[in-house]
Amino acid sequence: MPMNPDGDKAVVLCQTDIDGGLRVALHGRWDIRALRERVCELLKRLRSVGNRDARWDLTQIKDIDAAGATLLWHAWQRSRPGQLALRTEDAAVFDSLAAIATGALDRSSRREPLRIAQLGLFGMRILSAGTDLVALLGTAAIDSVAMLYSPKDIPRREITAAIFRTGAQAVAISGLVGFLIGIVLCYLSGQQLRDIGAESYVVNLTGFAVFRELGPLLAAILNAGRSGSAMTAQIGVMRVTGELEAMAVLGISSVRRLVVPKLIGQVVALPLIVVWTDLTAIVGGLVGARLQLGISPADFLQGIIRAVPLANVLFGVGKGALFGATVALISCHFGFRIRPDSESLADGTTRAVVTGLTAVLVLDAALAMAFSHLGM
Amino acid sequence: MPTPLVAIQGVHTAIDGVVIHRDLHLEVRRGETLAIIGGSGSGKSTLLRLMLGLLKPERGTVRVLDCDMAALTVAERRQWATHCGVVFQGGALFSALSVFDNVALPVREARWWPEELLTELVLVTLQTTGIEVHDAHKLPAELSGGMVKRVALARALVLKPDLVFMDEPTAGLDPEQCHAVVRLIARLRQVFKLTVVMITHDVEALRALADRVAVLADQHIIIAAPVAEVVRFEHPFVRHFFAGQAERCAAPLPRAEGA
Repeated sequence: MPMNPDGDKAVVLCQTDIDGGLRVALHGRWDIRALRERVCELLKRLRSVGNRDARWDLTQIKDIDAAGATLLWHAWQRSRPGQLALRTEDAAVFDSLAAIATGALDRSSRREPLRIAQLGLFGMRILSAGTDLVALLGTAAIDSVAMLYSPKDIPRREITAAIFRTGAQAVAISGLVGFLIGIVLCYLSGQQLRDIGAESYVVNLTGFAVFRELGPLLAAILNAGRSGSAMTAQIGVMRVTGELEAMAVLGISSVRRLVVPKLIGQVVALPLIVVWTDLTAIVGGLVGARLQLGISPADFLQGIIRAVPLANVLFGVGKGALFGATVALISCHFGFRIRPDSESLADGTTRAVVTGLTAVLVLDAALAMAFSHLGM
Repeated sequence: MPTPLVAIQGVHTAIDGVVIHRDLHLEVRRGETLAIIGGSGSGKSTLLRLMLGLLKPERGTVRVLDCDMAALTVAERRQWATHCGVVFQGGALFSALSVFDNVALPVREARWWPEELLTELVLVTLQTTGIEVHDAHKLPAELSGGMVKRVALARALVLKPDLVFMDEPTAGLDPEQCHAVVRLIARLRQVFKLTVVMITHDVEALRALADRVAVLADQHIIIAAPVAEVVRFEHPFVRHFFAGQAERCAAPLPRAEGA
């Protein structure tokens, strides 16, 4: 007589019937909680004792769930054995397993495209992104012009909010970074210039570097990190929560309500932030020059006014406006491409910041080459 | 007498100085389905958060599955979580994961089941809640409201929990989906031998599923009893809740002017 266990432990009992056939009887609980620590051991045991020709008796089982059935299904190599006795209430779970086609979720069967095709796809994606960006710029331009003909449609509240976020809220960080960079620049260049007896040129160098390059670039980099990511995340979350669809259904232009205010806010506020960053960098340079080279603040400021033509300052400010528009467009573009899931949101925000920064640096290099004689 | 799965005693909760619960007592017995009803802002969701250990009471104790929820360590909490399933109101499915991965996640986190056997386990669990195999690769954003509830149920049940919390399981569904989800929960309750704590406003769900109804009003549980008994209980909220539902069911559909 076989042992008849009455505990909860999952047990596999084998015996040979009178006709010489193998009978495999299962006892105990066959659910995920009971099996979790013995899965491999039981699978091995089931595979070793039973074959598909054996008589399987599941009528003594106390409880079986999807996990227990899955374990048996694997031992049976994914098909029901010829001789199987089970309780009526347990039949459904095996029917479900039988209904699942093998490899229903096998993702490895998906073919990877060839390298050359991947390159082509990448090129197509770049082209598509470029087209979308131009389309976004065009729509924003048309909407802006349309608003001029109908001033009551101008989203004043959104524009002022964008100016506040891009401008007022960036004052502290831009000022601090500008001041510190001014000190660093003056210290490093002063040391080199003193060696060749040309320390008075530290004023010219600081002035040119700050007004033409560092001021606009620092402001734009900070802006791409701060405001650019915020713009993408805002539009992305609106996609996730369905607000963009609601706007479309209500007949509200998302470009007019979301893109144009940000674009105007950036074009207005970033040049102001550039001016502020320039000023704090000059103050930093002034402090550096005083501490390291003993140049008096009055001499430093007079030197700056004498050495740096106004065209350089205006060029820097103009670059601020251009960088602002670029960051706004790129951030909004990536915001609209976000799909309604959290991964896409994170990915879109990262891409927006990286692309915005890269675009700013490329533009800066291009402008530096194109206007190298301006204000010299 | 067996220990109740949930035992809340003398709980006092306040958020930002606003008292939510005052001397609240509630017990949930093994195998029963308890529905919690109450008006908007009565503290039902706060009560659920207390039971899930997401909020600590100012006074009193909340014991769930014989664990004091205020004293659980991180490791104990992880262990505790494998015994509880939660179906959130909006489903709270992970938007970046497919339906399959959403349901597989608790099993993978608990490390209870080898990856080679996981596919069938997840697909069968999904089928139990009425999700077909071909929908398993979809993202939550591609699902209907009813399907989201079904996937959320599958995720809550995949570890075969002792206790399942459901926050408005039929909210936001059309009447047909509502009936289907109620029937599904009734079936799963039997199959999985569940103890269920359910917050609901749906009288149909209440009548079909609840063994007892706890009414949260005036900052505490004013009655916890079978539906038939609660209906007769004299309290403005109870009268309004059941009368309002009956009127809504009996009232003819509003007709457009001039029709």
